[in-house]
Amino acid sequence: MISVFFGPALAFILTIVGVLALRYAWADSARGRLPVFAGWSMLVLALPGWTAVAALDKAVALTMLAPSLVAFPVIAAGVEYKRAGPPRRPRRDAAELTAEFGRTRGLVSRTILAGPVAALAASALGMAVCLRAPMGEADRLILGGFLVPLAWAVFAGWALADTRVGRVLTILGLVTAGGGAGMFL
Amino acid sequence: MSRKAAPRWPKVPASFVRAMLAGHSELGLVLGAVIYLVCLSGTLAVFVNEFQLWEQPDSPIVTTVQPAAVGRAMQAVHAQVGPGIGDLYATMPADGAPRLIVSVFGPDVDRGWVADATGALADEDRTPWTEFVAELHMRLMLPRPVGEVLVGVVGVALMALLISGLLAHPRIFRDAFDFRLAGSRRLREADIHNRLSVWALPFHVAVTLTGAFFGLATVLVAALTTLSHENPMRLLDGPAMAADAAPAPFPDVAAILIDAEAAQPGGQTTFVGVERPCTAGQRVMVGIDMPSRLARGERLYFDGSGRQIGAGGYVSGPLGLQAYAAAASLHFGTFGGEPVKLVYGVLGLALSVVSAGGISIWLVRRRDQGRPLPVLEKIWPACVWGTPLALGVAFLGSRLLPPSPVFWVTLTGLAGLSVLFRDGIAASRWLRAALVGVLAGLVILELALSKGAGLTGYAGRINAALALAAITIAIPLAIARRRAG
Repeated sequence: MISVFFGPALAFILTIVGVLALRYAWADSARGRLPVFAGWSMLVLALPGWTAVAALDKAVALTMLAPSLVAFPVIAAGVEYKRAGPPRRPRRDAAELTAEFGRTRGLVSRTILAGPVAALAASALGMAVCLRAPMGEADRLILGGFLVPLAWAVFAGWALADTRVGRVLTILGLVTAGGGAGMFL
Repeated sequence: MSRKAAPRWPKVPASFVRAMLAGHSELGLVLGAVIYLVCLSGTLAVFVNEFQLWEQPDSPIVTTVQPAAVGRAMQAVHAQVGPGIGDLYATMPADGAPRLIVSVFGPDVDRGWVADATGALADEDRTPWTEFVAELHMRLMLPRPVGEVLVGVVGVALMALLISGLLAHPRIFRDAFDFRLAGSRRLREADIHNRLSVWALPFHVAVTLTGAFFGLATVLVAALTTLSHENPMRLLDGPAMAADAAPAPFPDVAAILIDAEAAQPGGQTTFVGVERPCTAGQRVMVGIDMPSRLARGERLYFDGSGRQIGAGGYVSGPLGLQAYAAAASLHFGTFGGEPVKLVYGVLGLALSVVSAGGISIWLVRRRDQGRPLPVLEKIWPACVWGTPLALGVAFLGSRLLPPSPVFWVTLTGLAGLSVLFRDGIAASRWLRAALVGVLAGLVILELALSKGAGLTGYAGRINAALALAAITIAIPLAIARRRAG
């Protein structure tokens, strides 16, 4: 049994060592995969330490929050102050200009796809889970409820990135139809 | 000097990265200002209890309270507002919120009183600025439910930005610790944006997904009610009790609180509510915090006679209800006392910086490409620095004027004034200097109004945080001024 003092202390130390190991590993790819594995392992192994003061659900949240706090000072400690030359002019070649023109031309259609069309597809998917998923009522309602914003975000990100409007519309349409069928069948 | 060899991951096609980055930019540009507003107000809203103490420092501080005093305070409020006006809620003193507040909510009433440790009502709960910050975060001051839904859509957009930002970043691990402060401005801004995004990702995903869920809840509930002909909210409402307007005595709140704490060993009472008080259909609910759990706690329900009629199931019920309760804790940062709130403050600020930085990077990139947008370069700093500045001005004026119009007028005015400056850098410097002045003014005003009480306790911590923020903003300004000669 880890005590309420040593548990979090151990977890925090493992988090610090884990972040430093990742810093060491990613600074030079020639250092191999061992320090990467060791770094991630230590971040995960911090979990039992947090369970000394928290139930598993809360311990997972603390395990995932802690590396953020540790990483910021590590990044700040390694800040590069080397003076750079004059700003490099970002390259804008013909292909990029053509692509940009194409994107601008399709902006309205992609906005509609990322907005209402993606929202409809995500809602159909989420509602189908809410109404038909093979689990308890509260479980499927919450799962479906969370699925709506998550699926909408994924669909919206994709719709904005993909210039092939027809493909996006077809797939989102299929998702909507599938969700709708799932709701009523 | 570190060596960067070829990545071990499969090479991501450049066209994919470019497409993701383009989509990321478009979405960020369209909603960047609103996302920043929601993020910054949300960061402040984490400390809503502390701000209440800061805004109303003279009202009684109560660290512990006896159940009988809670009952007395609730009966006193009921006597003050009269029967049939609304439901009563008492919020217990807790770590970070040492105050006993009794509120009444009804169709035509939304008031609260601060009580002392004996249950005697001391002051009306008047914290208009704190309420404004919370409302700004929850619905951007728009009417219900439009505001909540819009904030939910903003959450979805931010989630999409997080996903597309990750996919547009094939060197995510190799660059995870790079921070080039003295590089070009674009590189510096991009490093700040990417490092804060990546390392705080679990926090960003947690608050964004839960925020989007809560924002869209109204629409989801309406859709589910239409489709299934049953309101899903009944699952969250605990055991139903039919309304019965026949008169009944006020419930024995003290006895109910004692029973509730006995029913949840190790728990700490956070609130007690009496619905339809002094009627035969009254229902009492007690919120019990379970400190070891992620979920905010359990809810126990009692009838007017003090008989327990059920539990909410947030701690030991179905997984879905536990996840719902945990989502609330994850979003508001209420699961680990003051240390977690401080972490949420830091990471919330990081998310605000990330959301502000996206547009700054785009503006610098346009300038480097020889296609600057001089007016937007001046207006954007007014949005970024003007928002906290306008919030400060709204607080300074909140004793005389409602904060909302003061905030919006100030923010709009600053955006208009900013175009008069030579360039975006000058506008940014002026706005930051003004923000330092407003932060200092807030501290001085609070110390003067609290007659020195603002030096200690929770008000003292807020004043110290504001003074620290002012110094943090002032130092780079002073250095830049000195360098400029």
